[in-house]
Amino acid sequence: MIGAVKKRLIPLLDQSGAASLAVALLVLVLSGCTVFSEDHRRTVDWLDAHLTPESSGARAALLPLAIPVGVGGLVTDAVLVNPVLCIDDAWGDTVELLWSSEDESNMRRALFAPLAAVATPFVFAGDWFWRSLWPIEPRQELGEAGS
Amino acid sequence: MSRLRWLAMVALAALSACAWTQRENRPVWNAFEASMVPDSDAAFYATLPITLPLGLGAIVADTFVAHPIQVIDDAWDDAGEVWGDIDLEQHYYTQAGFMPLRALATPVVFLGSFLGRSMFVWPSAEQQAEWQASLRARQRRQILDWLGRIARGEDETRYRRLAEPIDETLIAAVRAALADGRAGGRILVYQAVAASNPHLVDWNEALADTSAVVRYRVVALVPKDHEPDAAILETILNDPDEAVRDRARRRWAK
Repeated sequence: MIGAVKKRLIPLLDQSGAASLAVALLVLVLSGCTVFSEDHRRTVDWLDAHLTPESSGARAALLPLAIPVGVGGLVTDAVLVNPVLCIDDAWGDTVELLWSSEDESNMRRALFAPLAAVATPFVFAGDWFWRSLWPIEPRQELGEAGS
Repeated sequence: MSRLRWLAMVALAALSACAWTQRENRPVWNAFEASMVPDSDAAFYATLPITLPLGLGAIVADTFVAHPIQVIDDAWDDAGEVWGDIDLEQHYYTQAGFMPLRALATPVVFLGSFLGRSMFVWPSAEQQAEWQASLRARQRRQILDWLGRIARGEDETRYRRLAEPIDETLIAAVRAALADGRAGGRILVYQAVAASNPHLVDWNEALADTSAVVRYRVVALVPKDHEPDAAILETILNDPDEAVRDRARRRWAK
């Protein structure tokens, strides 16, 4: 039964290029985790605040237009705004983890420096990717609910 | 029928047995047992060759027909919850943007709920509501106890968030904790308020707290949309404690 499904599905994916689309959608959905958090929807929040029709009739009438606009806003937040905004946080995490060992002696820091240099792009990329996918609070707000 | 399909049928029946263990989930079996199984021992054993296969048939009928029909409306309600809480007035584009996702999720939730409820023992909507109400009541009791301990000046270090509903009783408990609690307790209350309902307290009063440690924490907890009064701001920017002063200047000094 599974074999039969594979036989029918795989050529379909290959023919239509849907495999790439499926991967892109998967990444998009995963990225969407951030936009499920209110603090990570800057674009749609801006749209909500500035472009929402005042009357309920207009809101209902414009819904066919608002849906693609809203989807576009969420996608923009998920794949562009949030990943860009978390670059500095990812860099801050990387520096803190690899380059801010205050308790270490200068000798130890010197010995560790090459390893830190090698690890830096990996830690940065991993942290950036993680922060792009999940709604993690910015560094300056960690532990500070209201700031 | 292929061996794989037989295996799938048996597995499905075995899984379905979980739901079948609850008496209310087996109407056919209940009816069969009430009307066709003799009471006297002799008749019971004499009719076993007939009642046994009929009983198995009743189980299969419950598993694959009767109980799935029973749960369709609950699954429909679960799918309907995907469309709950749509606030087009405040979050028009956000909600509009999520509509296609809701549309995609609806059949998935319905099918998942239908299969899950058909196969396993799931609590009914009434049971779930009861559990949630009980959980909320317990959380509220814990929060009020916690605020009470802080107000009595007891050593409290656990962090909590305020539980809904935020009513007069809770507000009074928060005020009492802030008025009578020790510095450590007041910090915990300010943290809880900032994380749950930031406009529940007067942040100007909080910034004028007698303890420098509390003021230091409060400077970071004041909500973004709260601008302290000019006099309070002037005082905190020139706070006698260096750490408070520095933190306040980092946040508010032009």
